[in-house]
Amino acid sequence: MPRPSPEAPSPEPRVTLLDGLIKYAVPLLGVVGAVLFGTLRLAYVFFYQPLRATPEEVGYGYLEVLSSQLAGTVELVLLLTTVLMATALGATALRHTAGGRWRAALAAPSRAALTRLARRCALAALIVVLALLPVLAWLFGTEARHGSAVRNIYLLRFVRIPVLAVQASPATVTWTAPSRPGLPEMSGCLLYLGQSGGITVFYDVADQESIRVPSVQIMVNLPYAEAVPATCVPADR
Amino acid sequence: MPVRLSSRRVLALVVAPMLAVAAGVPALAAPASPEPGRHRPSWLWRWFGVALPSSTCDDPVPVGKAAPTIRVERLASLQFCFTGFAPGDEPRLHLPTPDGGSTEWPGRRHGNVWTWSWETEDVATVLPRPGTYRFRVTAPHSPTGTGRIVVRPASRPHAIFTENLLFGSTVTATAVGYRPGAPILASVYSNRQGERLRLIEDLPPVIADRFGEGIVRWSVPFSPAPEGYMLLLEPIDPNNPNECFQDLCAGIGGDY
Repeated sequence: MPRPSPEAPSPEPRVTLLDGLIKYAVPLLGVVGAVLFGTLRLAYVFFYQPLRATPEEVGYGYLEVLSSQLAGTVELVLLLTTVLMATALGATALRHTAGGRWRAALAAPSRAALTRLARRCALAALIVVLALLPVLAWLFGTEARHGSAVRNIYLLRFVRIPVLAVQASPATVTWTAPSRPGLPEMSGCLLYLGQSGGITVFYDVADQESIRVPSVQIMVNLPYAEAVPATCVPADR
Repeated sequence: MPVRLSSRRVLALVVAPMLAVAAGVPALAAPASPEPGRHRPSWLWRWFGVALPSSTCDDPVPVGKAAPTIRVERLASLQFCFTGFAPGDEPRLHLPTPDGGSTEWPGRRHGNVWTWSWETEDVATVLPRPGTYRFRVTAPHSPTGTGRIVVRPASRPHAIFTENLLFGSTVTATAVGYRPGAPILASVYSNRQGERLRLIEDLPPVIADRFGEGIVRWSVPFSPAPEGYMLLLEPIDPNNPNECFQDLCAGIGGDY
Protein backbone atom coordinates (compact mmCIF):
# COMPACT_ATOMS: atom_id res chain seq x y z
CA MET A 1 0.00 0.00 0.00
CA PRO A 2 1.63 3.21 -1.06
CA ARG A 3 2.25 5.69 1.72
CA PRO A 4 1.82 9.38 1.09
CA SER A 5 5.06 11.19 0.62
CA PRO A 6 5.84 13.58 3.49
CA GLU A 7 7.11 16.15 0.93
CA ALA A 8 3.78 16.32 -0.94
CA PRO A 9 2.43 19.89 -0.88
CA SER A 10 -0.66 20.32 1.26
CA PRO A 11 -3.61 22.09 -0.42
CA GLU A 12 -3.87 25.89 0.17
CA PRO A 13 -6.46 26.77 2.84
CA ARG A 14 -9.46 28.25 1.09
CA VAL A 15 -10.33 31.77 2.18
CA THR A 16 -14.08 32.16 2.30
CA LEU A 17 -16.03 35.38 2.19
CA LEU A 18 -16.90 34.95 5.84
CA ASP A 19 -13.21 34.64 6.73
CA GLY A 20 -12.49 37.83 4.83
CA LEU A 21 -15.29 39.66 6.60
CA ILE A 22 -14.08 38.51 10.01
CA LYS A 23 -10.47 39.32 9.23
CA TYR A 24 -10.85 42.72 7.60
CA ALA A 25 -14.37 44.10 7.54
CA VAL A 26 -15.25 43.69 11.20
CA PRO A 27 -12.15 45.44 12.55
CA LEU A 28 -12.53 48.08 9.85
CA LEU A 29 -16.14 48.65 10.83
CA GLY A 30 -15.08 48.96 14.44
CA VAL A 31 -12.49 51.56 13.59
CA VAL A 32 -14.87 53.46 11.29
CA GLY A 33 -17.57 53.30 13.97
CA ALA A 34 -15.23 54.66 16.61
CA VAL A 35 -14.04 57.49 14.35
CA LEU A 36 -17.62 58.28 13.34
CA PHE A 37 -18.77 58.23 16.94
CA GLY A 38 -15.95 60.49 18.00
CA THR A 39 -16.81 63.01 15.33
CA LEU A 40 -20.56 62.84 15.79
CA ARG A 41 -20.26 62.99 19.55
CA LEU A 42 -18.50 66.28 19.11
CA ALA A 43 -21.71 67.68 17.62
CA TYR A 44 -23.65 66.49 20.66
CA VAL A 45 -21.06 67.99 22.99
CA PHE A 46 -21.37 71.31 21.19
CA PHE A 47 -25.16 71.21 21.39
CA TYR A 48 -25.37 70.40 25.10
CA GLN A 49 -22.47 72.61 26.16
CA PRO A 50 -24.50 75.86 26.17
CA LEU A 51 -27.15 73.96 28.13
CA ARG A 52 -24.63 72.92 30.77
CA ALA A 53 -24.95 69.19 30.21
CA THR A 54 -23.07 66.39 28.48
CA PRO A 55 -24.42 63.91 25.91
CA GLU A 56 -23.92 61.01 28.34
CA GLU A 57 -25.94 62.73 31.07
CA VAL A 58 -28.97 62.98 28.79
CA GLY A 59 -28.69 59.42 27.49
CA TYR A 60 -26.50 59.64 24.40
CA GLY A 61 -23.85 56.93 24.54
CA TYR A 62 -22.01 55.15 21.72
CA LEU A 63 -24.97 53.19 20.39
CA GLU A 64 -27.48 56.02 20.78
CA VAL A 65 -25.34 58.55 18.95
CA LEU A 66 -24.52 56.20 16.07
CA SER A 67 -28.02 54.78 15.68
CA SER A 68 -29.83 58.10 15.87
CA GLN A 69 -27.33 60.07 13.85
CA LEU A 70 -26.26 57.73 11.07
CA ALA A 71 -29.30 58.07 8.80
CA GLY A 72 -29.28 61.86 9.01
CA THR A 73 -25.56 62.05 8.35
CA VAL A 74 -25.92 59.76 5.33
CA GLU A 75 -28.75 61.96 4.07
CA LEU A 76 -26.63 65.10 4.38
CA VAL A 77 -23.63 63.43 2.73
CA LEU A 78 -25.71 62.13 -0.18
CA LEU A 79 -27.30 65.52 -0.65
CA LEU A 80 -24.01 67.36 -0.61
CA THR A 81 -22.40 64.75 -2.86
CA THR A 82 -25.14 65.32 -5.43
CA VAL A 83 -24.67 69.07 -5.25
CA LEU A 84 -20.89 68.78 -5.58
CA MET A 85 -21.13 66.39 -8.51
CA ALA A 86 -23.63 68.59 -10.32
CA THR A 87 -21.39 71.59 -9.72
CA ALA A 88 -18.29 69.77 -10.94
CA LEU A 89 -20.01 68.46 -14.07
CA GLY A 90 -21.50 71.86 -14.76
CA ALA A 91 -18.11 73.55 -14.33
CA THR A 92 -16.46 71.07 -16.70
CA ALA A 93 -19.13 71.63 -19.32
CA LEU A 94 -18.73 75.40 -18.95
CA ARG A 95 -14.96 75.11 -19.34
CA HIS A 96 -15.37 73.12 -22.56
CA THR A 97 -17.94 75.59 -23.81
CA ALA A 98 -15.66 78.51 -23.11
CA GLY A 99 -12.89 76.77 -25.07
CA GLY A 100 -15.19 76.17 -28.02
CA ARG A 101 -15.18 72.39 -27.55
CA TRP A 102 -18.89 71.94 -28.03
CA ARG A 103 -18.82 68.18 -28.51
CA ALA A 104 -16.83 67.67 -25.35
CA ALA A 105 -19.16 69.99 -23.50
CA LEU A 106 -22.18 67.93 -24.49
CA ALA A 107 -20.56 64.50 -24.18
CA ALA A 108 -21.37 62.43 -21.14
CA PRO A 109 -18.35 61.57 -19.00
CA SER A 110 -17.09 58.01 -19.07
CA ARG A 111 -18.29 55.63 -16.40
CA ALA A 112 -14.83 55.44 -14.85
CA ALA A 113 -14.58 59.25 -14.68
CA LEU A 114 -18.05 59.48 -13.18
CA THR A 115 -17.21 56.90 -10.54
CA ARG A 116 -13.98 58.69 -9.69
CA LEU A 117 -15.82 61.99 -9.43
CA ALA A 118 -18.55 60.47 -7.25
CA ARG A 119 -15.96 58.98 -4.92
CA ARG A 120 -14.12 62.26 -4.54
CA CYS A 121 -17.30 64.26 -4.06
CA ALA A 122 -18.59 61.79 -1.47
CA LEU A 123 -15.33 62.01 0.46
CA ALA A 124 -15.40 65.80 0.33
CA ALA A 125 -19.05 65.83 1.36
CA LEU A 126 -18.36 63.51 4.29
CA ILE A 127 -15.55 65.74 5.52
CA VAL A 128 -17.65 68.89 5.15
CA VAL A 129 -20.66 67.35 6.90
CA LEU A 130 -18.62 65.99 9.79
CA ALA A 131 -16.89 69.34 10.16
CA LEU A 132 -20.06 71.41 9.96
CA LEU A 133 -22.29 69.28 12.19
CA PRO A 134 -20.65 70.56 15.40
CA VAL A 135 -21.08 74.14 14.14
CA LEU A 136 -24.74 73.49 13.41
CA ALA A 137 -25.13 71.83 16.80
CA TRP A 138 -23.57 74.80 18.57
CA LEU A 139 -25.90 77.22 16.76
CA PHE A 140 -28.95 75.19 17.75
CA GLY A 141 -27.62 74.81 21.28
CA THR A 142 -27.53 78.58 21.51
CA GLU A 143 -31.10 78.75 20.24
CA ALA A 144 -32.17 76.30 22.92
CA ARG A 145 -30.35 78.28 25.59
CA HIS A 146 -32.54 81.22 24.63
CA GLY A 147 -35.66 79.16 25.14
CA SER A 148 -36.49 77.79 21.70
CA ALA A 149 -37.57 74.18 21.36
CA VAL A 150 -34.93 72.20 19.49
CA ARG A 151 -35.73 68.58 18.87
CA ASN A 152 -34.74 66.17 16.09
CA ILE A 153 -33.61 68.85 13.66
CA TYR A 154 -34.39 67.99 10.07
CA LEU A 155 -33.88 69.62 6.70
CA LEU A 156 -36.95 71.48 5.53
CA ARG A 157 -38.42 70.36 2.19
CA PHE A 158 -36.81 66.91 2.57
CA VAL A 159 -37.66 63.67 4.27
CA ARG A 160 -37.96 64.29 8.00
CA ILE A 161 -34.89 62.31 8.92
CA PRO A 162 -33.18 63.97 11.87
CA VAL A 163 -29.85 65.38 10.79
CA LEU A 164 -29.19 66.18 14.44
CA ALA A 165 -31.12 63.98 16.83
CA VAL A 166 -30.83 66.16 19.90
CA GLN A 167 -33.55 67.27 22.27
CA ALA A 168 -34.36 70.39 24.28
CA SER A 169 -38.13 70.57 24.62
CA PRO A 170 -40.15 72.95 26.79
CA ALA A 171 -41.46 70.95 29.72
CA THR A 172 -43.61 71.33 32.76
CA VAL A 173 -42.44 69.30 35.71
CA THR A 174 -44.23 68.42 38.90
CA TRP A 175 -43.13 66.43 41.89
CA THR A 176 -45.04 63.20 42.33
CA ALA A 177 -43.33 62.44 45.62
CA PRO A 178 -44.87 63.88 48.80
CA SER A 179 -43.67 67.37 49.56
CA ARG A 180 -40.71 67.52 51.91
CA PRO A 181 -38.88 70.48 53.35
CA GLY A 182 -36.02 71.46 51.12
CA LEU A 183 -37.58 70.14 47.93
CA PRO A 184 -36.90 72.83 45.33
CA GLU A 185 -39.74 74.39 43.38
CA MET A 186 -39.71 73.45 39.72
CA SER A 187 -39.55 76.44 37.43
CA GLY A 188 -41.95 77.02 34.56
CA CYS A 189 -39.03 77.81 32.26
CA LEU A 190 -37.58 74.33 31.84
CA LEU A 191 -36.29 72.57 28.77
CA TYR A 192 -36.25 68.79 28.98
CA LEU A 193 -32.89 67.51 27.79
CA GLY A 194 -33.12 63.78 28.46
CA GLN A 195 -32.44 61.18 31.10
CA SER A 196 -29.92 58.56 31.94
CA GLY A 197 -29.34 56.28 34.89
CA GLY A 198 -32.57 57.32 36.59
CA ILE A 199 -31.71 61.02 36.50
CA THR A 200 -33.62 63.46 34.32
CA VAL A 201 -31.80 66.56 33.15
CA PHE A 202 -33.44 69.94 32.52
CA TYR A 203 -32.18 73.36 31.55
CA ASP A 204 -33.72 76.38 33.27
CA VAL A 205 -33.85 79.15 30.68
CA ALA A 206 -34.54 81.87 33.26
CA ASP A 207 -31.71 80.96 35.63
CA GLN A 208 -29.45 79.60 32.87
CA GLU A 209 -28.62 76.53 34.91
CA SER A 210 -29.04 72.83 34.36
CA ILE A 211 -31.00 70.78 36.87
CA ARG A 212 -30.77 67.06 37.63
CA VAL A 213 -33.75 65.35 39.24
CA PRO A 214 -34.49 61.69 40.10
CA SER A 215 -36.80 60.48 37.32
CA VAL A 216 -39.06 58.45 39.60
CA GLN A 217 -40.04 61.49 41.65
CA ILE A 218 -41.34 63.70 38.90
CA MET A 219 -44.00 63.89 36.24
CA VAL A 220 -42.82 65.47 33.01
CA ASN A 221 -45.18 67.00 30.48
CA LEU A 222 -43.89 68.01 27.08
CA PRO A 223 -46.43 70.46 25.67
CA TYR A 224 -46.52 71.16 21.96
CA ALA A 225 -44.69 74.46 22.25
CA GLU A 226 -42.07 76.13 20.10
CA ALA A 227 -40.47 77.87 23.05
CA VAL A 228 -40.66 78.44 26.78
CA PRO A 229 -42.87 81.41 27.82
CA ALA A 230 -41.45 84.74 26.71
CA THR A 231 -41.26 85.88 30.32
CA CYS A 232 -38.58 83.23 30.95
CA VAL A 233 -36.06 84.74 28.58
CA PRO A 234 -33.63 87.01 30.39
CA ALA A 235 -33.98 90.64 29.36
CA ASP A 236 -30.28 91.06 28.62
CA ARG A 237 -30.13 88.62 25.75
CA MET B 1 -74.92 100.54 25.84
CA PRO B 2 -71.49 99.15 26.27
CA VAL B 3 -69.71 97.92 23.20
CA ARG B 4 -67.42 94.95 23.42
CA LEU B 5 -64.11 95.80 21.85
CA SER B 6 -62.01 93.70 19.63
CA SER B 7 -58.36 93.98 20.51
CA ARG B 8 -57.34 93.91 16.88
CA ARG B 9 -59.59 96.70 15.78
CA VAL B 10 -59.76 99.25 18.47
CA LEU B 11 -58.30 98.66 21.85
CA ALA B 12 -55.02 97.01 22.57
CA LEU B 13 -53.89 96.91 26.15
CA VAL B 14 -50.50 95.57 26.82
CA VAL B 15 -49.02 95.07 30.21
CA ALA B 16 -45.29 94.60 30.14
CA PRO B 17 -42.56 94.28 32.72
CA MET B 18 -40.27 97.23 32.21
CA LEU B 19 -37.03 98.45 33.68
CA ALA B 20 -37.32 102.21 33.60
CA VAL B 21 -38.73 103.89 36.65
CA ALA B 22 -40.88 106.78 35.62
CA ALA B 23 -43.93 105.81 33.70
CA GLY B 24 -44.34 108.07 30.75
CA VAL B 25 -40.74 109.26 30.64
CA PRO B 26 -39.38 106.73 28.17
CA ALA B 27 -40.97 106.64 24.76
CA LEU B 28 -40.96 103.03 23.74
CA ALA B 29 -41.07 101.72 20.25
CA ALA B 30 -44.29 99.96 19.39
CA PRO B 31 -44.00 96.25 18.69
CA ALA B 32 -42.90 95.46 15.18
CA SER B 33 -42.63 91.70 15.50
CA PRO B 34 -45.57 89.48 16.31
CA GLU B 35 -43.45 87.35 18.59
CA PRO B 36 -41.12 89.52 20.61
CA GLY B 37 -38.27 88.12 22.58
CA ARG B 38 -37.30 85.62 19.91
CA HIS B 39 -33.99 86.19 18.18
CA ARG B 40 -33.87 83.29 15.80
CA PRO B 41 -31.27 83.63 13.09
CA SER B 42 -33.53 83.61 10.09
CA TRP B 43 -31.31 81.53 7.86
CA LEU B 44 -31.12 78.72 10.40
CA TRP B 45 -34.87 78.31 10.68
CA ARG B 46 -35.32 78.78 6.94
CA TRP B 47 -33.34 75.62 6.30
CA PHE B 48 -34.06 73.46 9.30
CA GLY B 49 -37.14 72.42 11.20
CA VAL B 50 -37.68 70.81 14.56
CA ALA B 51 -39.88 67.82 15.25
CA LEU B 52 -41.86 68.93 18.28
CA PRO B 53 -43.15 66.20 20.56
CA SER B 54 -46.41 64.76 19.36
CA SER B 55 -47.28 63.41 22.75
CA THR B 56 -48.68 66.04 25.05
CA CYS B 57 -47.85 64.26 28.26
CA ASP B 58 -45.01 62.06 29.36
CA ASP B 59 -44.95 59.99 32.52
CA PRO B 60 -48.67 60.21 33.29
CA VAL B 61 -49.73 59.34 36.82
CA PRO B 62 -51.68 56.06 37.21
CA VAL B 63 -55.09 57.08 38.50
CA GLY B 64 -55.83 55.94 42.03
CA LYS B 65 -52.28 54.75 42.65
CA ALA B 66 -50.56 58.04 43.33
CA ALA B 67 -51.69 61.44 44.54
CA PRO B 68 -49.45 63.93 42.81
CA THR B 69 -48.67 67.35 44.15
CA ILE B 70 -48.50 69.73 41.22
CA ARG B 71 -46.65 72.93 41.90
CA VAL B 72 -47.23 75.85 39.64
CA GLU B 73 -46.39 79.51 39.71
CA ARG B 74 -49.21 82.03 39.73
CA LEU B 75 -50.51 82.76 36.23
CA ALA B 76 -48.25 80.14 34.67
CA SER B 77 -49.92 77.69 32.32
CA LEU B 78 -50.74 74.35 33.87
CA GLN B 79 -50.92 70.83 32.49
CA PHE B 80 -51.00 67.39 34.03
CA CYS B 81 -52.26 63.98 33.04
CA PHE B 82 -53.53 60.67 34.36
CA THR B 83 -53.67 57.21 32.86
CA GLY B 84 -55.24 53.91 33.78
CA PHE B 85 -58.91 54.69 33.17
CA ALA B 86 -61.32 51.98 32.07
CA PRO B 87 -62.05 51.94 28.33
CA GLY B 88 -65.01 54.15 27.53
CA ASP B 89 -64.67 56.20 30.70
CA GLU B 90 -64.61 59.95 30.33
CA PRO B 91 -63.03 61.23 33.52
CA ARG B 92 -63.77 64.65 34.95
CA LEU B 93 -61.64 66.80 37.18
CA HIS B 94 -63.26 68.44 40.20
CA LEU B 95 -61.66 71.61 41.50
CA PRO B 96 -62.79 73.63 44.52
CA THR B 97 -63.81 77.26 44.12
CA PRO B 98 -63.11 80.02 46.67
CA ASP B 99 -66.80 80.18 47.65
CA GLY B 100 -66.77 76.54 48.73
CA GLY B 101 -68.25 75.13 45.57
CA SER B 102 -66.61 73.03 42.93
CA THR B 103 -66.04 73.18 39.18
CA GLU B 104 -65.86 70.25 36.77
CA TRP B 105 -63.43 69.99 33.90
CA PRO B 106 -63.44 67.36 31.17
CA GLY B 107 -60.04 66.07 30.08
CA ARG B 108 -58.56 65.57 26.63
CA ARG B 109 -57.73 62.03 25.60
CA HIS B 110 -54.47 61.08 23.85
CA GLY B 111 -54.44 57.30 23.58
CA ASN B 112 -54.93 56.01 27.08
CA VAL B 113 -53.70 59.24 28.67
CA TRP B 114 -56.09 61.97 29.81
CA THR B 115 -54.74 65.49 30.02
CA TRP B 116 -56.00 68.63 31.73
CA SER B 117 -54.40 71.89 30.73
CA TRP B 118 -55.08 75.60 31.12
CA GLU B 119 -53.38 78.54 29.53
CA THR B 120 -52.38 81.59 31.53
CA GLU B 121 -55.68 83.43 31.19
CA ASP B 122 -57.73 80.40 32.18
CA VAL B 123 -55.50 79.59 35.12
CA ALA B 124 -56.29 83.00 36.58
CA THR B 125 -59.94 81.99 36.68
CA VAL B 126 -59.51 78.37 37.71
CA LEU B 127 -56.93 79.03 40.42
CA PRO B 128 -57.70 82.62 41.42
CA ARG B 129 -55.32 82.94 44.40
CA PRO B 130 -52.05 81.43 45.56
CA GLY B 131 -52.67 78.46 47.81
CA THR B 132 -53.37 74.74 47.77
CA TYR B 133 -56.23 73.29 45.73
CA ARG B 134 -57.18 69.66 46.34
CA PHE B 135 -58.67 68.05 43.27
CA ARG B 136 -60.38 64.78 42.41
CA VAL B 137 -60.54 62.94 39.11
CA THR B 138 -63.60 60.74 38.83
CA ALA B 139 -64.89 58.34 36.22
CA PRO B 140 -67.75 55.82 36.50
CA HIS B 141 -65.70 52.65 36.04
CA SER B 142 -62.26 53.71 37.25
CA PRO B 143 -60.70 54.42 40.59
CA THR B 144 -60.85 58.00 41.82
CA GLY B 145 -57.68 60.00 41.49
CA THR B 146 -56.74 62.70 43.93
CA GLY B 147 -53.98 65.24 44.20
CA ARG B 148 -53.08 68.80 45.08
CA ILE B 149 -52.24 71.83 43.01
CA VAL B 150 -50.01 74.19 44.92
CA VAL B 151 -50.10 77.67 43.43
CA ARG B 152 -47.17 79.70 44.66
CA PRO B 153 -46.73 83.45 44.19
CA ALA B 154 -45.13 84.46 40.92
CA SER B 155 -41.39 84.96 40.98
CA ARG B 156 -41.33 87.74 38.38
CA PRO B 157 -43.69 90.51 37.32
CA HIS B 158 -46.46 89.42 35.05
CA ALA B 159 -50.00 90.60 34.44
CA ILE B 160 -53.16 89.64 32.64
CA PHE B 161 -56.56 91.16 32.10
CA THR B 162 -59.25 89.43 34.04
CA GLU B 163 -62.33 90.65 32.20
CA ASN B 164 -63.48 91.84 28.82
CA LEU B 165 -62.75 95.37 27.75
CA LEU B 166 -65.74 97.63 27.31
CA PHE B 167 -65.84 101.28 26.28
CA GLY B 168 -66.66 103.47 29.24
CA SER B 169 -66.20 100.68 31.75
CA THR B 170 -63.38 100.02 34.17
CA VAL B 171 -61.02 97.27 33.13
CA THR B 172 -58.85 95.44 35.61
CA ALA B 173 -55.51 93.79 35.19
CA THR B 174 -54.14 91.35 37.75
CA ALA B 175 -50.48 92.05 38.35
CA VAL B 176 -48.38 89.41 40.10
CA GLY B 177 -44.75 88.80 40.95
CA TYR B 178 -44.04 91.93 43.04
CA ARG B 179 -42.64 92.19 46.52
CA PRO B 180 -45.39 92.29 49.16
CA GLY B 181 -46.08 95.92 50.02
CA ALA B 182 -44.31 97.26 46.94
CA PRO B 183 -46.09 99.85 44.79
CA ILE B 184 -47.27 98.64 41.41
CA LEU B 185 -46.97 101.52 38.96
CA ALA B 186 -48.86 101.43 35.71
CA SER B 187 -49.36 103.87 32.84
CA VAL B 188 -51.51 103.97 29.76
CA TYR B 189 -49.97 104.75 26.39
CA SER B 190 -51.31 104.99 22.91
CA ASN B 191 -50.43 101.90 20.99
CA ARG B 192 -49.25 103.16 17.66
CA GLN B 193 -47.75 100.48 15.48
CA GLY B 194 -44.42 101.52 14.07
CA GLU B 195 -44.27 104.80 15.99
CA ARG B 196 -43.20 105.84 19.44
CA LEU B 197 -45.66 105.47 22.25
CA ARG B 198 -47.50 108.49 23.61
CA LEU B 199 -48.32 108.73 27.30
CA ILE B 200 -52.04 108.97 27.97
CA GLU B 201 -52.30 108.64 31.72
CA ASP B 202 -50.36 107.61 34.81
CA LEU B 203 -52.54 105.39 36.98
CA PRO B 204 -52.48 105.70 40.78
CA PRO B 205 -50.07 103.26 42.43
CA VAL B 206 -51.45 100.00 43.77
CA ILE B 207 -49.82 98.37 46.78
CA ALA B 208 -49.00 94.69 46.31
CA ASP B 209 -50.69 92.39 48.83
CA ARG B 210 -49.00 89.66 50.89
CA PHE B 211 -48.71 87.48 47.77
CA GLY B 212 -47.09 90.30 45.81
CA GLU B 213 -50.23 90.82 43.73
CA GLY B 214 -52.46 93.76 42.97
CA ILE B 215 -55.36 94.78 40.79
CA VAL B 216 -54.76 97.70 38.44
CA ARG B 217 -57.91 99.48 37.32
CA TRP B 218 -58.38 101.83 34.40
CA SER B 219 -61.51 103.55 33.12
CA VAL B 220 -61.62 103.08 29.38
CA PRO B 221 -62.72 106.27 27.55
CA PHE B 222 -66.04 106.22 25.77
CA SER B 223 -64.43 107.21 22.49
CA PRO B 224 -61.83 104.78 21.30
CA ALA B 225 -58.45 105.96 20.10
CA PRO B 226 -57.90 104.76 16.55
CA GLU B 227 -54.50 103.43 17.45
CA GLY B 228 -55.68 101.68 20.60
CA TYR B 229 -54.11 101.73 24.04
CA MET B 230 -51.35 99.95 25.85
CA LEU B 231 -51.07 99.51 29.58
CA LEU B 232 -47.50 99.24 30.80
CA LEU B 233 -46.46 98.17 34.26
CA GLU B 234 -43.21 98.76 36.07
CA PRO B 235 -40.50 97.66 35.90
CA ILE B 236 -40.04 98.63 32.27
CA ASP B 237 -37.68 96.51 30.24
CA PRO B 238 -36.31 98.70 27.45
CA ASN B 239 -35.01 95.62 25.62
CA ASN B 240 -38.27 93.78 25.84
CA PRO B 241 -41.01 96.34 26.27
CA ASN B 242 -43.79 94.12 25.10
CA GLU B 243 -42.86 90.64 26.15
CA CYS B 244 -46.34 89.94 27.48
CA PHE B 245 -47.95 91.24 24.32
CA GLN B 246 -49.30 87.97 23.08
CA ASP B 247 -50.44 86.71 26.46
CA LEU B 248 -52.41 89.82 27.11
CA CYS B 249 -53.92 90.19 23.72
CA ALA B 250 -55.09 86.62 23.97
CA GLY B 251 -56.60 87.57 27.29
CA ILE B 252 -58.45 90.47 25.75
CA GLY B 253 -59.95 88.94 22.72
CA GLY B 254 -57.99 85.86 21.81
CA ASP B 255 -57.84 86.95 18.21
CA TYR B 256 -54.36 88.41 17.95
